[in-house]
Amino acid sequence: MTDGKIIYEITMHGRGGQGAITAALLLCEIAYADGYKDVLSIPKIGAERRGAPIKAFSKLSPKNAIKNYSATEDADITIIFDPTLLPLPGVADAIKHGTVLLNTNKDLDLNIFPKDCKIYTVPVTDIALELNLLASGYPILNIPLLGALTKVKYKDEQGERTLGLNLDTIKKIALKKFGSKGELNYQAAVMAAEQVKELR
Amino acid sequence: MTEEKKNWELLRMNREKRPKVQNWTSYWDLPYGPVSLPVKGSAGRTGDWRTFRPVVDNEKCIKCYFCYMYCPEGTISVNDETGFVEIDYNYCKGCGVCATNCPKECIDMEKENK
Amino acid sequence: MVKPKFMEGPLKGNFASAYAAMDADVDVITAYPITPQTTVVEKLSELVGEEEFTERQHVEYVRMESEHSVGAGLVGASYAGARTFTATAGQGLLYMTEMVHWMTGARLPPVVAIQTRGITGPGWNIWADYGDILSLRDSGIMIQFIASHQEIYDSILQGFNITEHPDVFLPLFPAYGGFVLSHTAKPVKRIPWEEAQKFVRPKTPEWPHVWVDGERPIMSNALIMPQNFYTEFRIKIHEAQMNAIPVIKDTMAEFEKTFGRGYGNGLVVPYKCDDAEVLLLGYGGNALQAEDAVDKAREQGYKAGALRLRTYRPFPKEDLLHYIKKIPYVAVMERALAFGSPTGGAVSTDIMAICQRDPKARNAHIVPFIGGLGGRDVFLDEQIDQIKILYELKEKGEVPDRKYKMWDTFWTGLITGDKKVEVENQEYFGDI
Repeated sequence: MTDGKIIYEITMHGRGGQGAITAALLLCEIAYADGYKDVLSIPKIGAERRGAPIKAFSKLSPKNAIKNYSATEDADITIIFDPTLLPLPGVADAIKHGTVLLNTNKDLDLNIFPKDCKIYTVPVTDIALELNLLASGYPILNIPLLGALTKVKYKDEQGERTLGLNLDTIKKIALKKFGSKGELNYQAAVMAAEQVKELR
Repeated sequence: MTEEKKNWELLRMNREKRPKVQNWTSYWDLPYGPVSLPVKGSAGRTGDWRTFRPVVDNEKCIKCYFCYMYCPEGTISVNDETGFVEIDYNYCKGCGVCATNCPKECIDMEKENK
Repeated sequence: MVKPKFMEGPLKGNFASAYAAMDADVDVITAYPITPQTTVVEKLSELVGEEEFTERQHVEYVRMESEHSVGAGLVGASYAGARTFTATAGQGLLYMTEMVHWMTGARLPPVVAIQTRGITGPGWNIWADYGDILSLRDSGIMIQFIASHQEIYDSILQGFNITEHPDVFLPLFPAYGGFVLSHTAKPVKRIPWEEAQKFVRPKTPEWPHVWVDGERPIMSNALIMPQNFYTEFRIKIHEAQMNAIPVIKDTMAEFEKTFGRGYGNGLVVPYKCDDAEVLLLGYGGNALQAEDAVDKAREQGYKAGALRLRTYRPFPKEDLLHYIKKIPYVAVMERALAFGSPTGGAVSTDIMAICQRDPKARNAHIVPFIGGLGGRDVFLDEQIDQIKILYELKEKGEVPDRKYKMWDTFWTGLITGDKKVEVENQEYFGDI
């Protein structure tokens, strides 16, 4: 945690029930355990209906205290839980720079993102279904996506680097949070970390 | 502990030593909040207020104690030996609730001859 | 000893409230849910049954049928000498109002956490807005504005040391922004039980002024005639507020000495005020964000400082004047609107009043800003603009004009029609 970036701002776009809000909180817990000095997770509470578009934010600060509670307007890393969200207002068109991590098993039209964005895809829905990692019939996406996030790189003037998150920490937190399902979650995270594809 | 605090401590712990009327004289005597300490006749001799005086006819009384329960001022008590009620005329205001509620109509409201 | 499930890590603000109440060793919790407070009482209902707590303390958790009953339950338990806690917000607090006045009149010491929420009237809103707690400004309660998750925990733990102090005996309402702090998560450290108990005021079997004992009956709330002591008992409440100022300071100093972290002197929290030329004064999360704005503005050459009002009632007159006398250009940023008041803000009106009474602060320039109502984000740029306005005032001698200035107050974030309003976005967030 020695790089100069003051605060990483991460936005999660998901659908109600996919675990975006939990993912924002889990990411903070993992980052805090991995040595970040201050973290902040912000859920945007609307009508929390299963299937409705949901936004959540994480702010990770390697060195300084976070004092700004406002939502992120220009995210450094955007995580999209569902490719059907892309055409909605405020999702793909709100990305101005940084890195995008998208859950899909298909090819992607890269032109909808700004030129200097790094793009990653990972088929976490497939992974969750393959491992039978379900919550009330729905595939769990948050821990696998965070597993993929450990391999994702962020680029700025100072060069490329990952966020410095560890799969071991994910395992620890998953076991603590989800008990018997923690091991399965961790397996999914490992698979996602292996299958994440860098498109650009 | 200041003198005033000692007094308050005494009032707090000992029911017998409570004064008849809380004798605050100034702002600086006051306790934290408006707490009153129930003692007999804390509003003075309210018996003076009476125009009609309730008188119980013990021959008709069936000892149902309705009057004892209804008296708003708690001036009616029960004599442990005889079982009849007694009225404390020092404090009875003469409201007549006891006479109205007596099922045997054995309480008369008699005009005071002051 | 059972190992605690949580000691340190990112925690939602509402959970920090719940843990703090348990670690302060409360006896009675009365509860009724209301957004955004719900997760406090939900978490407490879990905690009172968790082994970590049941093996060392007994907490009576009473589910009530309304906030008014929650207040009445607190009053009843508190009369009997119990340490009491609850949390509420917005309309719930308004419904509890009558019992809040009872708490102050009877001089009872509960701590009530408030997750501030916009008042509905109509115009339904559940997001941060301090209008709810400020509607009880004159009820005699102590009001603190909290700005971070760790501070929520620490303030509630300190709370009972203040409210149960023999010079005070007034309820304390620590207030923090609904959703801004209640549902976001930030790292929080719990204090281990033994250490917390060494800090928290030891319990007494009964209070010195009220008690419940059939052998020694008392009557609270007797009728007081105008010529008797009603006026004096009201002044007593004011006296207790004045007494609370040193108590809050001492409690914060002791807390800082014991645990190594603190929040100013407990009344105000200064940030880079030593060499500042202009001052951003505010409260709650916005005031913490102002510290970021100060840093950014200093990079651009503006020497600004930030002052966070942490305790609003009792009003820290001396501490505020200390800074205002040094830095006479002050922007007061508020997240609540006092309709029809001289400035539109309760805090800025109070600050103008204390300046008027001090000859050295009489010429200070107090500029009221109001914004962020109903949970609207106040952005860093808007706060930096406040600093720029103060500099324009300092150089030209008069308050500059902005499109969002009306009746001599700046309405930060006012929709002036210059920018397209993102209506789609509202749909995107759902239609609450």
